[in-house]
Amino acid sequence: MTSPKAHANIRLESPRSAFLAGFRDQAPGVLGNIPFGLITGATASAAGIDPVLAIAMSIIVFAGAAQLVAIQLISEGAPGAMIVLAALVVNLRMMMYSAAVAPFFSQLNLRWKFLIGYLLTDHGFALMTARFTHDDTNPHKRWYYLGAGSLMWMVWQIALAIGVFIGVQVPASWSLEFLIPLMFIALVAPALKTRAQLAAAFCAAAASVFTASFPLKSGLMIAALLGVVAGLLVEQRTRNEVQP
Amino acid sequence: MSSWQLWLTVIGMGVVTLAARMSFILLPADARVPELLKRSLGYIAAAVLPALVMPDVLFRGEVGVHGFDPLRLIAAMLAGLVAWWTRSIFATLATGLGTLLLLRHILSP
Repeated sequence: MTSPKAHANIRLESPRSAFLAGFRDQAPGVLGNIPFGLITGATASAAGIDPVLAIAMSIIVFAGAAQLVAIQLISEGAPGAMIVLAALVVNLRMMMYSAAVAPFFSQLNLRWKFLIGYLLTDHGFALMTARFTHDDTNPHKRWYYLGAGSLMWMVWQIALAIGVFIGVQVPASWSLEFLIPLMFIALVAPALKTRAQLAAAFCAAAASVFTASFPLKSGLMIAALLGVVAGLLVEQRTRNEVQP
Repeated sequence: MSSWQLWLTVIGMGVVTLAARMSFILLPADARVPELLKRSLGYIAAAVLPALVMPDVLFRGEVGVHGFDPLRLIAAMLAGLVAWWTRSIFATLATGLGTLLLLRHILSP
């Protein structure tokens, strides 16, 4: 398997070739997301959520982790404001991706920018930053991104819809809802590479135990904030060690 | 929640999610972003996901039932180890759910 950088020298000469290149480069990431989509759909059914609502949520929000949190909170009977807040906290990481891809698209009009924002995912961000440098003048970057994003979008929606209909058939004794925390465990593992990231994770996890009973999911926000601060502090200390 | 409240919630989720995604894309190219904010964003994924998982594993039993279930904790810890070693979503899910169902089966009266 070649990395996107390996064929970065293939010219993206037209919107069409750029679109197809994005489509192709995104394929491995999309395959990995199929089980994620199936499980999100199946847990929505297991939680008793109306299939139409589950599919509409996926089209409107298009963010797997936030969808999983919402499914869990809806099944617990949480108030709507709490669910919206939790979705925001889970998706704050998108701001980092937004900052990373913004320089590629600064010249585009508002309609394009909305399309790019709507399709922004962990994978789309990773692909763009791997393939292009910020001074790349290729005018077809947007088509490359659109190819990658539209493949991800289509496959995610199809996998989710299939999951919704599979989920209806699965008996409750299979404890499918346990897949939600398991999925989060699987998703966080690749994000824990440095000591600072580990510190952020452990501090947030420890804090969340004590803040779990706080109202309106504020415990999640407080724990996450403490985790971010822990990460920053460790990063600072590591820097000081490197440059005495 | 009633049906219209659920729909309103989903639309609210869509709005805040799009806002997070659009944030820096909509900023003018020459806007200055504080360095501390940029660095902080890098730790959000590492902090938010564990903060979601811990209470869920410790304080929730079956759907909607609150209470400590040691089997869930054991299964989640094993899944965490597998996630760390393999970085594979499938292996993590299979280990976690497999352990939970197996332990329940063995221990059921």
